[in-house]
Amino acid sequence: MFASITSATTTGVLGQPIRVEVHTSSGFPGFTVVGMPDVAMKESKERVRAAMSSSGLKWPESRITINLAPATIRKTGTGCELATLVGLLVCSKILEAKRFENVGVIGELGLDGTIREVPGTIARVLALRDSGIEEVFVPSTNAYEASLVSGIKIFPIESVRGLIGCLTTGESWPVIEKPIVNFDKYVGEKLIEDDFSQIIGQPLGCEAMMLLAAGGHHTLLMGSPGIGKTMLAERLPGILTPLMEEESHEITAIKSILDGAVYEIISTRSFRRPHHSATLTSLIGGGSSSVSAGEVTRAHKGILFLDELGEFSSHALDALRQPLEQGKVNITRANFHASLPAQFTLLACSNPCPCARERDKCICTDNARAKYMKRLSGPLLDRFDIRLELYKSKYATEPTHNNAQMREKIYSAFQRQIVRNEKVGVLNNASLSSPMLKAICPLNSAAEKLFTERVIKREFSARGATAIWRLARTMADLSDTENIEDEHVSRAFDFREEIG
Amino acid sequence: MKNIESVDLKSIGKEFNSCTSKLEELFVMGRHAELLDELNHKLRVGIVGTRNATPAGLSDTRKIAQVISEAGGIIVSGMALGVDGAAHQGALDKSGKTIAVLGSGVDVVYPYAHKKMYNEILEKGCVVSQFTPGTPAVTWHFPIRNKIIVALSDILVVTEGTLKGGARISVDLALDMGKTVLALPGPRRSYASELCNAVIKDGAGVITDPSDVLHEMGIDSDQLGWELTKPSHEYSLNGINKKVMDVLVHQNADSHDISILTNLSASAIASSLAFLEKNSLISYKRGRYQIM
Repeated sequence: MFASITSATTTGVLGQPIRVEVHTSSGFPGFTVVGMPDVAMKESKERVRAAMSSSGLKWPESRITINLAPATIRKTGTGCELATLVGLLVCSKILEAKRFENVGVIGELGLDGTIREVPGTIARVLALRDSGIEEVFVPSTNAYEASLVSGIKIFPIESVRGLIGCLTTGESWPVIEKPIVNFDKYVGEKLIEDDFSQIIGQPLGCEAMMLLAAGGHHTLLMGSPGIGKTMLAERLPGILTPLMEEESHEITAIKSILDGAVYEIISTRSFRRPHHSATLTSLIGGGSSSVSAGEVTRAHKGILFLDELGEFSSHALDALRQPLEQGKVNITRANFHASLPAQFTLLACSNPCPCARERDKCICTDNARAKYMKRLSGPLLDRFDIRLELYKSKYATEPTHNNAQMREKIYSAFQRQIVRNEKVGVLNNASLSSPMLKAICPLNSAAEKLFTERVIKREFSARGATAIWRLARTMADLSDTENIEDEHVSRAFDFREEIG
Repeated sequence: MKNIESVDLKSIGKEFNSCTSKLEELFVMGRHAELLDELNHKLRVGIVGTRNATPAGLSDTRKIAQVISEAGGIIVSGMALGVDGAAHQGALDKSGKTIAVLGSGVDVVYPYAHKKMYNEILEKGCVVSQFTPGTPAVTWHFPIRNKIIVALSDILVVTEGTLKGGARISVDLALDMGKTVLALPGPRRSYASELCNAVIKDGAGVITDPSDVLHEMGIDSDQLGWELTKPSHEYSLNGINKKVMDVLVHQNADSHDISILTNLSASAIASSLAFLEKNSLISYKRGRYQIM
C-alpha cells in the first residue's frame, strides 16, 4: 500500500514543503526512514509506534518504508511525525487518501497520542500555502499562530484520536483559541514611558534618530560617557515606523522558528542590543550541524544597536559587512547552506577616544585617538551614513523633540519614500544607490552646486558623497517637501564627518 | 636607493663642541644637505613644542614657519606629531627649506604618520640623525635629538609646550648654549601654554607676530604676519554670515547652538555655514564648526 502526505520542514528561517511517502509491503516487518532525515526524525519511529498503540490503533505488521521527498534536501526536526502516522493510517485504510489531497499535516507526536507543538509553524504554513495547499492540520497549540496566515484553512488537532474522530465520525473540530502564555505582556505598563522630551541639550542627536527612523540610515554616535548616546538609542523604538503587512508576516515567521511558537502577530520593529562580548556566530548566525540565526536575523527589519562599538571584537564587526550590504547572511557549511534575512539598521555608539572626555578636556594624544579609531575598520565605518559626534549643548535648555511630533513627521516621510522608491524597487532612502539617486532624487542647480563644492571642500569619498545625498533626501522627506532644496543638502552635512 | 651621507661635524660649526662632546658625525639623507653648511647658520630657526598641541597652537606654528620660510629662513624641527609636524608643514608650504632631526636612523620613519611629510622633506630639505641608519626610535634618543636641533639653530622658537615636556629640555639647552629663545604667549589656563608663559617670565622674547622672529634674525621684512592669508572677502560678510562668525569666534558650536545664539532659522544658518565653509573661514570637525 502507498500513501503520500504533504508536510513541511524548515531550512534557515524559511519553510519548505516536503512529501512524506509511506509504503507498506509484505515481507519481514521493519521500519526504515530514507530521504536525508536528521536524528530526531529517525527516532520518530518509536514515537509513531507508541502514539498509535496509545490511541488504540494497530501497528501494521509489514515492511514499512518512509521516504521524505525531495530526497536531496536535509530535513530537520519532528514536524513530519504526524504526517508519517497519517500515512500509515491511510495505508491501513483507517483514513481516506482522498481527504489528504491538497492538505498539509504538521505536528509532533507524544507517546500518549497527543499532538505537540512544532517550532516555525508559520513559516511552514506560509510555504505550504505558497505551494498551493488549501488546508492544513496543525497542533492545537500552534493553531492561533497558523491562523495568522491568510488564504489557507487551519484545522487544530489535539490528539490522534481526535483527528480520526473529526475525519471519520464527524466530530466537531476544536476551536482555535488565543493561548495566554506570553507573560511578558502582563508585567504592566511602565510608570514613565521613554520619550524624547526627556532629552535636553541634544537636538542634533534627536534629529539623527529621526533620520534613522525615517530613512533607515546606519548611524554611528560618538561622544563622551553620559552625553546621552544610550538614552537616545533607548528611545528609538518609540518612534520607529510600524511594520508593513508582508514584513510583519515575515518577522512573525522568523520569530516562530527562533522561539518555538508565537502567540500574536508582530507589528513592531525589533530592537536588538547584544552585549559587546558577542561572538561572530552569535551576531551573524551559523552552527555546524544545523543553522541557527544570529542577532542580525533577529534584528531583521528592525534595529541592531551596538553600544560601545569599539569593545566588540573586530572579527565580529567586520562580519557585519555582508549583511549590511546585501540584507542577508549566507551561511555555508560542509553539508548545508542557508540564506538568512538580515535587513537591519545599524545603530552604534562609541567613545571618541580612550579618555572619553569632552574635546576641550581631552588628554589623549592624536596618536592615541587615531589608534582608538583604528579598531573600527574603515570599510565598516564607511557604511554609516550618519557619523555624528555629540556634545551637550549649553544653550538648548528646553526639550526640543517629543515622540508624538517626531512620529508624525517620520510616518509621513516614510510614506513618501515608499511611493517614490517603488520606482527603483527599494524600500527606504538608505538603500538608494548613487544611480538610483540620480534617477529619482535629482538636486536642483543651487543644491547641486552646494553639494559638489562642499564634497570637494571636505574631501569626501564617493561613498561619503552618496551618503550625504541620501541624508538630504530624508531631510527633505522629513520636512515634507518633494524637492531637495539647498537647505536640506546643507543640513545633511551636519551629520557626517569623514573619519580617518 | 638610499643616499645616506655622513657629515663631519667640524664642517658644520663650533656649536657642537660645546654641547655634544661625544658626537663626531651626523648622518644626512635628502637632496639639500647644503642647508647644514655653517654659512646658513644664521638662517636656521629651530621650532619646538608639544606633541599634544591645541588646534590654535598648530595653526600658529604653521603660520610662523610659513613666514620664516618665505623670508628665506630654514626651519629645524624634530618631525614629531604636533608642533614639530606643523613647523615642517609651514616650511613645506613655502620654500621647503627644512631640516628634520630624527631620534631614529635617518632611514627610519618615525612617527609613521609623517611618512608623506618625510618624503617631501627628503625632496626639498634634508633629514639628519646622529644614530646609525636602521636604528629604531626609542624614548631616550629624543633628548639627544633635541640637542642637535638646538645646536643647528641660531634661534629657538617655542610655540606650545608643557613644563614637563621635551620642549622644556630644548629650551634649557638653548639657554645654556646662549641662544635666543622666542616664545608664543598663550592663555593662563591652557596646559599647552605653560612652558611658553614660564619662559617669557624668565626673559625670553615674545612673539606677538611672526615677523618678530624675522626681526630677531635681522631680516627687515614687511611680511604681514598672521594676516598674510586672511581672506579678502571677510570685509564683505553680510549680516547673517557676520553673526555666525561672531558666535564661532568665541566657541566651537554645532548648527543648533548657532541657531539659538543668533536667533536665526535653521535654514538661514545652514546656508550661511555652507558659504563660510566654502570660503575656508570655518571648518567642520568632530561634530562642530570652528573658525579656521
